[in-house]
Amino acid sequence: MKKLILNFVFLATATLGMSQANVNEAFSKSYSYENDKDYSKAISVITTVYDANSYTMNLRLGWLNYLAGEYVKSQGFYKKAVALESKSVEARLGYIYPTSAMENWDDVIKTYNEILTIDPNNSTVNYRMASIYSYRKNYTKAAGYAEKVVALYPFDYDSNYLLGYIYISLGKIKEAKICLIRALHYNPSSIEVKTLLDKI
Amino acid sequence: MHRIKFILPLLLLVTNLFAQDSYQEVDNKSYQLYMDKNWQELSQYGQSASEKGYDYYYLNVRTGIAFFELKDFENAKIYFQKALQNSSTSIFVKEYLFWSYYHLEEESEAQKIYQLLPDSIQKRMDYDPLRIVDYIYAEGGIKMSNNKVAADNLLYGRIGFNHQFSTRFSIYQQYTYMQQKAIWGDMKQHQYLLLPSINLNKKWTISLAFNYSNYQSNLDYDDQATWKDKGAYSSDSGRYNVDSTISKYYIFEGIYRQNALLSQININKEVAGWSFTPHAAFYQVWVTPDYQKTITTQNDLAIIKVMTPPPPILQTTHDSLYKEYKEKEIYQQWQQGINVSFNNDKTISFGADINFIYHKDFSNWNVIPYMRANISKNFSIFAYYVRKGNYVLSMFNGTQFLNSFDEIKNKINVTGEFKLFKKLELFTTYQYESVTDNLSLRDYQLNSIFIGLKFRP
Repeated sequence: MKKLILNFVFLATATLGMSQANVNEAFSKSYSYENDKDYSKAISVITTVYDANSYTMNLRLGWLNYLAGEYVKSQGFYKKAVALESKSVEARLGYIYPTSAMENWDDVIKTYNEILTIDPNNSTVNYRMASIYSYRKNYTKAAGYAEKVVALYPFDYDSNYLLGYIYISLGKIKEAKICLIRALHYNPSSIEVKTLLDKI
Repeated sequence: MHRIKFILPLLLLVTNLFAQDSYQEVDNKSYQLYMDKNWQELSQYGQSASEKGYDYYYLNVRTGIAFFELKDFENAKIYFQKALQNSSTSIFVKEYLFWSYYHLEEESEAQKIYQLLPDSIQKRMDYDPLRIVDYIYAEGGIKMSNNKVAADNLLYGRIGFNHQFSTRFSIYQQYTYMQQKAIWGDMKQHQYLLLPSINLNKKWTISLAFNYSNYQSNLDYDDQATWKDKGAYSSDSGRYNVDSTISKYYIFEGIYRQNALLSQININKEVAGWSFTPHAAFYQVWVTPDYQKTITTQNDLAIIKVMTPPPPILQTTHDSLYKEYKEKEIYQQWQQGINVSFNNDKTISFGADINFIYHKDFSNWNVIPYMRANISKNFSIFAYYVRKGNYVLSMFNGTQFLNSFDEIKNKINVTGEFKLFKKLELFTTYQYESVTDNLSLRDYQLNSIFIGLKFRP
């Protein structure tokens, strides 16, 4: 009986070890296929070892399906990843890719707001929210997001340029100049910044 | 076997047609059909993809346009609404949605969308929101009484006009006439309602309601009431049994007139299926009485001292009171509250009009629950329940006004709304109400039938 139990434990450990090795190999191959832009093969190697409860596999399949242009499937995998790791910011940022590709902008904003609830100072999300609201000509709201990024990264070129543009639209010329001059210090040859500065 | 051979390829063909497992396939196919202007196939393909869970901006826009081109504006509206849920700022979709509403003659919804379009687009569109007479509403009916001594049948009729001056501003005005015979005489009432309404951005609406009424009663009231009292009392001089009867005779003769004005402000905000309308109203009545009131009181009082031999003491009095009413009076009442409703899927909505009534001598809460069920595209039902005391009550943002001081113990209203033609709607209403007359204190029930027609010229 003892022998039987020992055999069983050995067999189970060996199987687990083998399956872990298979998963590692599948991930390794999928990176290689992705590098070759063969997304369908990159997806299929992960699918062969797919475990619905694996956060990493769902995240990876979300990304690969996005690259393959399968946006609805990509959203589905990212949603599963979020369900497995409810506070995951990276899975939500991944979900944004297919959702914005399908121009479902209200869903994008909803997801960004979820991220900001988890991580209020996330500079990527604050910057993108500022861009979206600036595009929608809701400059007051846009300024709120952009100001948050500039407060954390005062010498960031993109955020200063965006905030400068938003301030011009709001008629805050003095504040706009400060931002645009900072952006120009970061990139003295920037034509877009110079163009804006010439306007005010 | 031959039959199977024949059917199998057909089945495969159909299966292949709807095998939409891939986003790319759906996107490519719908895009191609859109570029080919194959509206018939695109509408079917888009609908099928939607049923399979594909819900993204471009697919909904393409499917909406396909239905629009096929002049199926009802389905076009559905897909443009979905596209707007995907991307709520799309001007392109808003313009299509506007024209869908326009062709469906849902003018009020069309105008809400029109307001959201930029000036440059509005200028390009050949649309004039001005409608001097947007629609005409006429209604008439009878309230049948079960106690014709207390109150006879009530006849009533009304006519209303809606004027649309711009996408943001409209005025509804309505004249109502009613007459009724009651135990105390007869009454006639002329009522005029004015409802200006301004739509603001972001689903805010401000509306006012002014309800003027001119009421006249020819009083010819001759009535009596009797109260009886029996009881045992004790004092130092012994115990007594008391038996008394008080009879009162009333005579009202002359004319009672009143002019009244209700002024109400409503602020409405819609948020995700919810509608909130806080409101405040002030009601004032100018009473111009011109009648005589005579009350004769008779007391028959019997006091019997226990253990003492009879006879009882009997006291009879006849008090006559005569008074002429000429002095003008003013009655004032405040009302404030909120009308809340929820409409989840546009099929059924529930709501309640909650009010607090204040008068210097009393105050009351009043809640009117109501519901609307859109049974089909052309038929819906609206129902409400109300009860109230001896006070006036403005309902549904001032559009309906119970300006009688009679107590309404129960009132149920059910209205069926039928869209007969594009320009004509039929309203049929049944009402049951149980009333206590304010003057005679007599109870009666009314069963009412009204027929209304709404016509857009």
